[in-house]
Amino acid sequence: MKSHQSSRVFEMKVFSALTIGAAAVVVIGGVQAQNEQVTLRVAGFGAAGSVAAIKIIDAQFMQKNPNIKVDFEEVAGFQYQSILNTRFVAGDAPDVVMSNGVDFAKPWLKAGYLSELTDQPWVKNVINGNRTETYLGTNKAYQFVIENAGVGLFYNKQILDDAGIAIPQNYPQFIAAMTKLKSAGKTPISIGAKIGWGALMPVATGIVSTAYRTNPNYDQRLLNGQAKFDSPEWRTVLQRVVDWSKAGFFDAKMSLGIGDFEQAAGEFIAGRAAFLVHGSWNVDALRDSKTNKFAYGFMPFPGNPAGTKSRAIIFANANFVVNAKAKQPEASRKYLNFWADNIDTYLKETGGRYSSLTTSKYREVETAEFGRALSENRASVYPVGNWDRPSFQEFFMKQMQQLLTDNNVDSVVKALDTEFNRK
Amino acid sequence: MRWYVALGFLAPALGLYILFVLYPTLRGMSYSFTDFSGVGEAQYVGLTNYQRILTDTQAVAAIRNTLVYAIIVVIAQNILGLALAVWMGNMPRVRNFARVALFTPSMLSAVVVAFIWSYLYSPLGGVLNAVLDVFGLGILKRVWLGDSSVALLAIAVVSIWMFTGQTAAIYLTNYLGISQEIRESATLEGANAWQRFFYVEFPLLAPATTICVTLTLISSLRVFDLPFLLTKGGPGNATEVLGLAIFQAAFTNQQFGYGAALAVVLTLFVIMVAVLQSSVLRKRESNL
Repeated sequence: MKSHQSSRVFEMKVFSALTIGAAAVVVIGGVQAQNEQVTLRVAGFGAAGSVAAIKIIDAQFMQKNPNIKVDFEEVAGFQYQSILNTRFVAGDAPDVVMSNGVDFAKPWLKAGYLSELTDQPWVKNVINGNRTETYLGTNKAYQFVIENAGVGLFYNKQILDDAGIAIPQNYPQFIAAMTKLKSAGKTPISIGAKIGWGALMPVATGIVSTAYRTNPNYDQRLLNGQAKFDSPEWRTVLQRVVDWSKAGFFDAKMSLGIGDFEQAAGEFIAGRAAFLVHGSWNVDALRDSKTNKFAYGFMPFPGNPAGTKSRAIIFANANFVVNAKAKQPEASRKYLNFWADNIDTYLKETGGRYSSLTTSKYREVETAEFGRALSENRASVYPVGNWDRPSFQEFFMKQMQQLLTDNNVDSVVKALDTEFNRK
Repeated sequence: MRWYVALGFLAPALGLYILFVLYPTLRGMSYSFTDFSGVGEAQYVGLTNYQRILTDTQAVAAIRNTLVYAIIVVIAQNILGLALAVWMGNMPRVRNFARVALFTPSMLSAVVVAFIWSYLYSPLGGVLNAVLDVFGLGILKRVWLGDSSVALLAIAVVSIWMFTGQTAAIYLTNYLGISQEIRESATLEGANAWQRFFYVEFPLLAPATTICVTLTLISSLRVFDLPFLLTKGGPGNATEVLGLAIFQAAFTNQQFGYGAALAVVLTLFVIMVAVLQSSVLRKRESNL
């Protein structure tokens, strides 16, 4: 009996020792795992001048999370989607991947490559204007919108002041200003249309301050066939570009040989044109420019009728998605949360960018008028990017070049309708 | 040699060829019958992509422009290359220097060349328009890459500038190989310089002609880099070419199925034209 008892005690001791030992292994293992250095792979296309800012956020993230090393890879812009598609298919995509509005992410979601982010704390703070990009047409969140860019009107305050012109607030005032500038021997507006984008922007900003102003659901009307391009609203905004050309506000033929981005914006930055309808990211270049010594502003394009307020265009310029097969899923989520908490740092480091979160407090001085339109909810998502037709922008740009060549609004609206409704 | 020994020697090269050329080609062709977007599943859509080519204004313009571009480049590059080869052939003192100088542009990257020429052509202080002004030819000034009537020609000029030296080098090799006795006997028969060139030298340059025409034809039919870098196919569809249309369909619009159908059309196009011209030129060679 005694020997049975002592054997029982021995068993208990062994069991206790094993339990304590196992617990110690788990705890030590856990501590080790916590301290273990993990590498978080992030790929991005470096939206205009943003890579330096991304690196600043990454450095701060690594400082706060010393066990996570962020390995940011900048992938060539024009082949970005193809390269990332290949990596997703090969199972070699990074943990966190940058995407554009919805074009990149929608096929990735359809193919099951994206991780759901609905339970993340920043999701509830997403502004209404970015719900399309965040939810990708589903009821679950998949994208964190890093930055919105805006398209609007840059004006050279120096040139306007010298000509005694007030900043135009509506279309009649804008035309009056350009007419006066032309008479004063100044170049009213810089437009580059070598690929057509620069000519499309006055039309896009124009339609937003007319058709979208009176009907915020205009996208839906177009998509379900209630509205079409062969209509007074589109004809009006297309005709405006023709009228500008005929009035000599810009040289349509010459604009076809001028680069849409650096070259056209460069004319404005060098102080050679009073207006530029372009992207807010030019604030970066204007800040860095050594030639720019003039005061300028960025506002929604005043394409609206007199007595009304203009509307801004915004679009998600860069987002983050998390790979469904991320090797570091927790670190990926932590990374996105850090971005959400520190988005104002990023906005300060770049220029002409707008947050997707209601929690952002940063307000930029140079683009205050544009920011005010966003605060007052006078903004629409870039129409062409909101139609779920990835190739349509390319087509529209070519039609704009055609319009600058032959001034034929009629053939352009008909071609746009045909292409838009192509199955 | 027994067949299996021969096969053993062939196997490594054949295996690589099948893996990296034949299989991707056949796979690409099979994608042309699907709606493949580059990721996810591909659905079979029959001949839809091919039917679309017929109604797609961009694709139709691309086919037309590719043909026009190829005709301009093949004719101009070969005439210029031949003229330069004859000139170098008769100028032994400057021959080596001229050959290197003319050959240099073809060694430059297309990106560098496009960058240089976009500044030469620029309507904002571009060199070409400035030079025309200096010589009192301001009436000829154009927005070279933005005017649909001259944009394709402007791109062709860049290509011709790049590769004429290469063509001239091939013609020169053949030209220097022509026996001096033949030239002398033609001269003794009373032929002047033009007659000697057209009736004696040019026919004897048939092998170089076949090579140069074939190379320029194939490279100009599958042109992509210069239109992509200089105009992106614009203005409108004025400089749209098949190579660019394939790239835009597959990599910009993510319509791989449609891009593959365009690629099949281009492949058939190149094979057809290359076989046709090669058989004509080879026949000319065999008459020597």
